[in-house]
Amino acid sequence: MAAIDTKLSHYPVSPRASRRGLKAGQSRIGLLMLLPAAIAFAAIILYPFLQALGLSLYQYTVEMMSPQWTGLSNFGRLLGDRAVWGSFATTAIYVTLTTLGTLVLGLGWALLMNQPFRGRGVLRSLSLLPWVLPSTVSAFIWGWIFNSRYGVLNALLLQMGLIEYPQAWLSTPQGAMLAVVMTKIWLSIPLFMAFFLAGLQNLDREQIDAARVDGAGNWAILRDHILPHLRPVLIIVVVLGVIGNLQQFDTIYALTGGGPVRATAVLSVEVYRRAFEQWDIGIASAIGVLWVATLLPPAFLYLRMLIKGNN
Amino acid sequence: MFDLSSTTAKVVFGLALLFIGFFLFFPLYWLVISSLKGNAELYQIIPTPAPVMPTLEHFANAITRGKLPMYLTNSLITSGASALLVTVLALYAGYSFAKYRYFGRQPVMLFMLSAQMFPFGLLLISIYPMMSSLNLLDTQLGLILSYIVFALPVSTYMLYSYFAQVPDELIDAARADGASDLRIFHTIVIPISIPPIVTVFLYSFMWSWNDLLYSMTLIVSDSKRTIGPGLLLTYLNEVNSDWGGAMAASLMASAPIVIAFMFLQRFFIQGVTAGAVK
Amino acid sequence: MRLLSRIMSTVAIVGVMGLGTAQAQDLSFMSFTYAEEANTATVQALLDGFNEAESLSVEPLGFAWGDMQRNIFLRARSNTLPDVAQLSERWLPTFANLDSLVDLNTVYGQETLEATFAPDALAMGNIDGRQLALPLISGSIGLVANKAVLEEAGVEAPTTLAEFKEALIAVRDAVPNSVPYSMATKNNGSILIDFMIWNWVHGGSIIDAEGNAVVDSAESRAALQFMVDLMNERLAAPEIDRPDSRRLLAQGASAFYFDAPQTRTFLRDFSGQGEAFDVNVLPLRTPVLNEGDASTSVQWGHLLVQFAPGGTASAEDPADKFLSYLTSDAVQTDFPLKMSALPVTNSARAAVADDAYLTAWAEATGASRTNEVGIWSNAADMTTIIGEEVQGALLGQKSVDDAIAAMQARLTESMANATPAG
Repeated sequence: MAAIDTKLSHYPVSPRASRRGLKAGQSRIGLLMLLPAAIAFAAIILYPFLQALGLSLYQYTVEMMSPQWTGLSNFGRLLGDRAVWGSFATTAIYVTLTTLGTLVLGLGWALLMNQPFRGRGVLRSLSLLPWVLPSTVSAFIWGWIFNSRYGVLNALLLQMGLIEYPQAWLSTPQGAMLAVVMTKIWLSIPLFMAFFLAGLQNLDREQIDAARVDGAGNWAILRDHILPHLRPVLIIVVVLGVIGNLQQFDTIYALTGGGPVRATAVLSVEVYRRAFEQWDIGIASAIGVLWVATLLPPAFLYLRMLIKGNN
Repeated sequence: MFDLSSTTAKVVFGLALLFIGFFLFFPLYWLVISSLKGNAELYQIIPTPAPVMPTLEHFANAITRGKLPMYLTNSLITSGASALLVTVLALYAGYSFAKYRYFGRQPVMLFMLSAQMFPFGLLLISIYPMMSSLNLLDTQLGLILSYIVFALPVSTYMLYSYFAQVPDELIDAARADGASDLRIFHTIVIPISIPPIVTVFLYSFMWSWNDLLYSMTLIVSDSKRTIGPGLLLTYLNEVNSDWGGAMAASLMASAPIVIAFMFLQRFFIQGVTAGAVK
Repeated sequence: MRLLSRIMSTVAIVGVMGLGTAQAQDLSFMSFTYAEEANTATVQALLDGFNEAESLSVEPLGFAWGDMQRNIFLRARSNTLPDVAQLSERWLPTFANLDSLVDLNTVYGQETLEATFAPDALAMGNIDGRQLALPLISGSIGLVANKAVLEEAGVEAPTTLAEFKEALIAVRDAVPNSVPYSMATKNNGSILIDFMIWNWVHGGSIIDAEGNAVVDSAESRAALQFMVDLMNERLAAPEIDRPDSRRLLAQGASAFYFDAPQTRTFLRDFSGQGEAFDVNVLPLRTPVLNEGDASTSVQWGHLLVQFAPGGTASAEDPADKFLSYLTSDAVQTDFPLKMSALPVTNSARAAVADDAYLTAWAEATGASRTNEVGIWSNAADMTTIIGEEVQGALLGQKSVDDAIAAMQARLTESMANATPAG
């Protein structure tokens, strides 16, 4: 692999390389290459999306054999449904906490793993483990740690004298949220770490050495050199993190099922419960559509910035 | 990177290492030792820090119940095939976006990428009847195709941003020698892109590998279940909260992919370095 | 590239192997009892017996109880329904308008069925005059106690609510780290049962016979307040579902909980003591509000339904032969006992009348009442509503008054869309 990398680096990347592109006459081949993905995209993402958009205008419940047109009445029902607004708030809290937490800990761990010390290689490999475990397994592990009767968390707190009785963490809104957030942070740290480590590889060491000669301390180096250098990584990591956390379903469903009551019913869980447990397809679609409508404008602007920056 | 010669720096470094390290590794440690405890030892209010009487009974149970290998195989098939499919699709699409200019290129790319925000559950509502009308419900093929949803947009973007860095000069030189575009892509560009390709493969593999939502809904036969729902429904259901069994089965279910990953992780880190992040 | 192609060919090979297995069995039987580790062998013996008797093979499809309802709906929409399925009695109304559900009166004749089955058992499968299911086992959900724990705490079996609470306090103080009453506090389906029973004990009800929500009453408030108090005094605990209750009772860490007679089979398994544990399993009358009140319990059973295209079948079909076999005397005098439950046919009930445990159970639970929520087509929706509101009050997230008021409003809305099924 190393040989190929050096070979690639022999070619200078001209700053105008991607802007100029190749000759216009070849655009047909380009379109041809895009075609398979475009077909797959249209069939499995776009078409279902448009169809769901349509379904949000129908009433379609378990007792009905076929959907019935109701116009905007699903959205009217949602307006008055406090549970749904609760889900929006829950999702916002969940996504913010998980993304921020992973960002801080992932960056921290990457900085630690970038520092030479004995056993670093092994530790680096091992720290990818949480990411490769099936998410059901992660949920099992954390569910067991947070277990109200036999959980090690309660045991630790009991022995330290911080609590008098075992706490039922997963049965309190805050405890359950803490558990699902910690699980997600735990399993996302490795991916974030990998991205940050990659970004740290091509940091200009001479510049840092020079700064150090000028008397800059560790903190100043982190603030003035490392973090600005990691800015592009940070942007992509935030995008991936937010997308992943917004779409997160499996660990939450396996750990709390959205409960207690609705404390961890983020939108993904809410849509699933409405659609495939209560079989209220119309309302489920309407919630999903509302979700996209809130999310798409900012996402679109952000992504446009990202792609523009890339060109 | 940092200068750790001062005591304060050493202490801060050590504490941070200890804190995040504990958070990352303690759960794994707890998984392993819990799986080795007998039920009497497992269900104690104050647990023992390490098994006093280690036993393999939970592992024996997990094996004799016999569904685990089946769930695992199913997961490997569906996740592997769909990751492969996504990687191939994204490979061509990413290269097309990066190296060709045509009308609508940017809007299409932008739109595809924003589609990653479409809620998977919402798409599932329509994918479900669609698969039904194609007779693909409760089939592995149906699941494989549906899994495209998870990672196609981001994978395309990752490979796009990698290919954008491949110098045009490299391609132009080959073209001057009379090689066709596809040939150039296959024989020159792909061979130097293995790390990012592996990265994208693993990224999309992990999405399907973790999936609970689609598998629980599109698959109804036990014989086609994947590992996520398989574990969930076997170990934490109405008649059974068998934590010891769940821990042992979890370990066994994770083993193949952990081993595979240990081999691939070098590519993965390289791929991240070379690809998505500039 | 070589790596990729190797992966690709491996996937292809495994894929072909995986897809190529089709089984040719005479009929498929979807069962949650089959999925229960303690009972798999017992059900398998049934299938083998049927194979011997009729030389027809059955493909067992084991599904966790909690997954069955959703799975059957998914299968209904993907045309992969099994030939025969085992249901909990309270699920039937939800499925009543599936086209492929067979009215078994058309197969066996109403008179034959009425002559064969005990009326209470047969009634569980009857919806609007259509016999959409046959019973497999029956019984009731009532209070179960661990005798050893009661002795340890030095308490007698309670008859009134006040005594019940005293007993719980004694257990709490005598058995460290115990959950005196393992009330269901996690799963909506289980919470419903506990709330319904305490609500009856206090004289309330949830839905009246005309389908009006009537839960907003002083009685229901008192019932919920009673449950909340148990939580506050640490006589019950959060995060408990039926399997947790069974495990706690089997380990001597709990004194009481509600379950079906079948619980004895689970307790044998969870205690690790097998039948030696039977002496500790004590069926009790549900405590009453005032001395002299009639004790209550909830009717319970497992049903068998048949799915066939268009809902038409004949007694000669393999599936119907299977149903006949499962309700024959040979099976009914044996299988229900192994499951610690009552048989469903008149002849089998007469034959097992001297079984001590079942007699004690029947005596303790007395006349049981129909599940007032489970008989409506929107039972699943109502179970969620009741479960959520009760849980909200138990966990201290809302007051008893708020929970009951919200329950009333949500149930009323849900019933407005319901079709009367029972």
